[in-house]
Amino acid sequence: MLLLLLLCGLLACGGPQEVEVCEQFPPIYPDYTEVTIPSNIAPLNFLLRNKPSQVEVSIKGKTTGLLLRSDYKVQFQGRRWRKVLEAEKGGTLQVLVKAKVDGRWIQYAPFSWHIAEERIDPYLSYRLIEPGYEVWNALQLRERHLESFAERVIADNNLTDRSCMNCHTYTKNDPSLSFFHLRGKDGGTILNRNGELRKLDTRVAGMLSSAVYGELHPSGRYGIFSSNVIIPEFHTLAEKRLEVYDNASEIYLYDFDARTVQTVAFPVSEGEKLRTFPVFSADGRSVYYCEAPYLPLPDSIQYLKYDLHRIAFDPDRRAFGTAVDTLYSANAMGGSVCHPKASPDGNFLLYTVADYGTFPIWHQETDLQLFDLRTGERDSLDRVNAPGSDTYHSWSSGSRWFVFASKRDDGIYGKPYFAYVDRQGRAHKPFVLPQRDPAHYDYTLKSYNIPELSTGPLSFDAGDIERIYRAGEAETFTRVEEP
Amino acid sequence: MKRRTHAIIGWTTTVSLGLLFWFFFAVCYRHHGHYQEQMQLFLFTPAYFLELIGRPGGLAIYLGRFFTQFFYDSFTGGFLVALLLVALQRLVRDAANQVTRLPSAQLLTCIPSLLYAAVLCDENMLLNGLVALVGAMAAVAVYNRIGRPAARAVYYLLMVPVSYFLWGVGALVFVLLPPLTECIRRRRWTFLLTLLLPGILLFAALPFLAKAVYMQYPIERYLLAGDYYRFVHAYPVAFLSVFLFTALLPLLYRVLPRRRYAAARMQYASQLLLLALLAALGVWRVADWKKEELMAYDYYARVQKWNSILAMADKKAPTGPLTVAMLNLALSRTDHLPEYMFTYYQNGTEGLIPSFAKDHLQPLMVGEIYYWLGLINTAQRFAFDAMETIPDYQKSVRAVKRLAETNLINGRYAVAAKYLSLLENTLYYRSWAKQTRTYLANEARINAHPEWGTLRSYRPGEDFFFSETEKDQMFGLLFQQNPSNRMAYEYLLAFTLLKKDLPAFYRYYPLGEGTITYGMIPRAYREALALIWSQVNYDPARKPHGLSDRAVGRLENYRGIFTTQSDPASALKRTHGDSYWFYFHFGTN
Repeated sequence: MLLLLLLCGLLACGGPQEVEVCEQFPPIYPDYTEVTIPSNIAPLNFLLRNKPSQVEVSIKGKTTGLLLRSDYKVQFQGRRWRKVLEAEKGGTLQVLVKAKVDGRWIQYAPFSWHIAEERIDPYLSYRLIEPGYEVWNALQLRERHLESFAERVIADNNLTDRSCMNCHTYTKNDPSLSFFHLRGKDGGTILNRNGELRKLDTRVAGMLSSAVYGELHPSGRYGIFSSNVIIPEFHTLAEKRLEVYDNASEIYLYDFDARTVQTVAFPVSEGEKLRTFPVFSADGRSVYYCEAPYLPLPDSIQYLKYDLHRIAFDPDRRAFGTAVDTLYSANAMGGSVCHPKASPDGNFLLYTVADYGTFPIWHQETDLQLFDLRTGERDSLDRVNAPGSDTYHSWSSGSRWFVFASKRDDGIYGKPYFAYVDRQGRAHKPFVLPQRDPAHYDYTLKSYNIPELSTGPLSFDAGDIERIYRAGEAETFTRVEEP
Repeated sequence: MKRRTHAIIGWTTTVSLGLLFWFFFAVCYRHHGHYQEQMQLFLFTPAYFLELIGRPGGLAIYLGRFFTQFFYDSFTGGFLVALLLVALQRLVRDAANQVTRLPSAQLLTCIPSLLYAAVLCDENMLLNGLVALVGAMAAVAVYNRIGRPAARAVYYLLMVPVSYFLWGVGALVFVLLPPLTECIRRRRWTFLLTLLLPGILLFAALPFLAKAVYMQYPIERYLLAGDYYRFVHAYPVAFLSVFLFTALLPLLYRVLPRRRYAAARMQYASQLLLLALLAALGVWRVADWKKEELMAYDYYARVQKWNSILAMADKKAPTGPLTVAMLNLALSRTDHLPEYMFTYYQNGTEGLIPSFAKDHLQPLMVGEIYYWLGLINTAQRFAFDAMETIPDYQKSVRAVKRLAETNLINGRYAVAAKYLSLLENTLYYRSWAKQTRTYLANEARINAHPEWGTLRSYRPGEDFFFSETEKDQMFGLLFQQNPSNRMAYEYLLAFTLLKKDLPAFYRYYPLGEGTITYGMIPRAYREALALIWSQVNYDPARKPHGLSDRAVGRLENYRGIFTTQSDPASALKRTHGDSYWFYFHFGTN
């Protein structure tokens, strides 16, 4: 109450006197209007695109509030921000922005920040890369603390002979169970298990390639990966950029304890198939994957559409089921599914749908879909999706938040967006990862790839990755048959 | 010789040296400067400054790039390089004077500047190193002006790490020079133990300390901090001997003989001769005029000075694929390609439009061709990938500008705005970016723009994949989709001619009828048509429309020489070396 009184007092004595009322939201960037946020998120700093000389922002909750005066960049003080969000958890903050534009004060329509009860996992890893075509230069995997602006490098290709590195993936948001592929002559798949780093050579004779897409089993013992022959092609039409497709692909199960690899024996089906994007279910007893019939490529690329399937997996016997469930039929639904991800509570499956193909980040029409594994209902996530590719998603450990990479701002540079899924399973309007400098996304030439949430910080850093890269041969695997 | 005379000679030397450097870098070797300028994106933003200054050698990198941006205008860029080289000479002179005053030998203080000017002739040698050398020598000058020995020692030990973090490995000059000067000037060798040894140990430890703190780079980059060379992982360490020489030269003054007036004049003369020899040797042995030529072609293509390219080619015909490709582009942009392309040396289809290479310059140059053809996505890809190949991880202002243009043409206004925002923080591209911003989302204005509007109309309306091996198909599709795209038509035909694929030429040639008009059939087509007709024994029923008897007569004359001479290539080169027939029989495709 005292704080509110103080706030009112401040507004009365120091604020703008003659104010013109505007019925629109302020032209803020990033668009943080009417979003749902976790109570443990870093300050949602923003700027006003019309570059006013002065800005006054008042934030009011039920019991507390904030008043800030600044130039066109609004940057909140971390400690006060956290206090307000903690106090208003489960409630709503009203944000009122007044701006002095061309000597006149304008009061914009207030907007809300809904503070969810559930916190988001406090760490996020992602790969920073220029969204190029065939050539890469500086690549980094970074870890960001979501409750502040602290960020650190966990792998850097400067230290590993400029070799390519793929995105870092956790299992069950556990910082002690994750992997990423480090390419190059001394590279391998880096497995982080219980604080121990291993370098694995995932390619055995007869395979198409080293491991590409995949995931670790919740037990940490297994990994399921696709092996793909990946072909890039370049569009000439203005609206399109890059097409990346598989000429061949198959799925393998790795046993990290026994150092064996086996081909996943799928039930016999008609014709040659392309199978990719395998992931485990939350309980580790099924595998979701995408499958398409082989077509002559690239001529038939527009007809290359992937179904979403599920097959049972018995981790004790390393054996797969004999029947396949189809969760999304490309024939019936018309799209092509990529990147399925099961929520940790096992209730949902989140995946992306593009018009065709297998590389959704360069398909502007790519959208996320949410599949309720309990009811079989499909949610097209209209409040979450936007023009531009929305894909590369992962869940928070509580299954109430997910993060995804979206190119909605400019179609080229991906950024991590967070969306809340409420108790009724409805997804809310997402918000972009806040930055200390709200102009950060205007200037950065990096794209954020595969954002992944975790419950804690990783135990390794770029120096550890440099050491293991140079530490000699990678561990090899022996090929075995399914028992 | 009187002190005043020495002073006059000293300043005359400095000014003359500066003027020579200015002339060399601003006029003779200016395209190397243009090349350097485009391989960076210097931003006047606090974030850019902080990103660089936080690294060992960061100030040298920042200032090196700051000076390099002025090569947008080679006169200004050349002037600033000359200024740095002259500053180096004055600082070396100052350091030498601290050892002993020997004015009659002052011309020798020009040698480090001359050596560094030679170093800068390598297009991968960045200005960072020169800045670092000047910075380190300035720190020496400050040291020499501190009166109390104890204060000097404290300053020295403090400045060793500071110099390393400001200037990078060039700080070695500061590590060596002050203690050695003390030793020689005061003849007290204890300085070797009390000052030099701690200085060297500290300096040697700093890269490892930096690595432990930053972790982001391999140790080599800390050992060679300052990024003096573009290939940060493949450093020609030998050039650091110039730094060592700069550090040791002032010490030599102690052993140089003092001369009387008459002898001093001789000494000046011999020094002048030495400098002249060094300069001549540098220009002769170190300057790479082939690369200067390539960079000139690149520069003129970039700024659309097509007539300058033609003038260069008239003086000396280019022979490399890239230079020939730029010449062909200039011929095309001035509507002369089919008439004159074979009057110059042709390098096969790779000299028309070279294949993509993972390089930081080649795709920028080849991207110019795709841009003007209307293959905007390909031009964009080439610009992007060229930028990603820059060995020292910098961004390219030229590539960013091109990306702004391609996205503007493609109607991707948000991403175009992002690139324009960056350019608005540069010195030379700010006004262009601000002006271009006014076009964003203004379809009518873009469509009416003489360049962007035309290129927008040239873009493919139907999608096809880019194919490095089927370029003629792509040119054909481009032309089919927009028959006003004269360049696509001419490149299609030029491609077949250079490939010596006459059936394809004959098949494609009629595509232009009705849409592409010429006063008379251009020479290359005329000669190809005559050759094709000759292959059917001049069957009157198959005579190409519009083919003159004169062209046929010339071909017959050519055939006469071809069939009768024992060495037809030499004979025909003199008489028909500028014909398509000569290329057809003797050119490489």
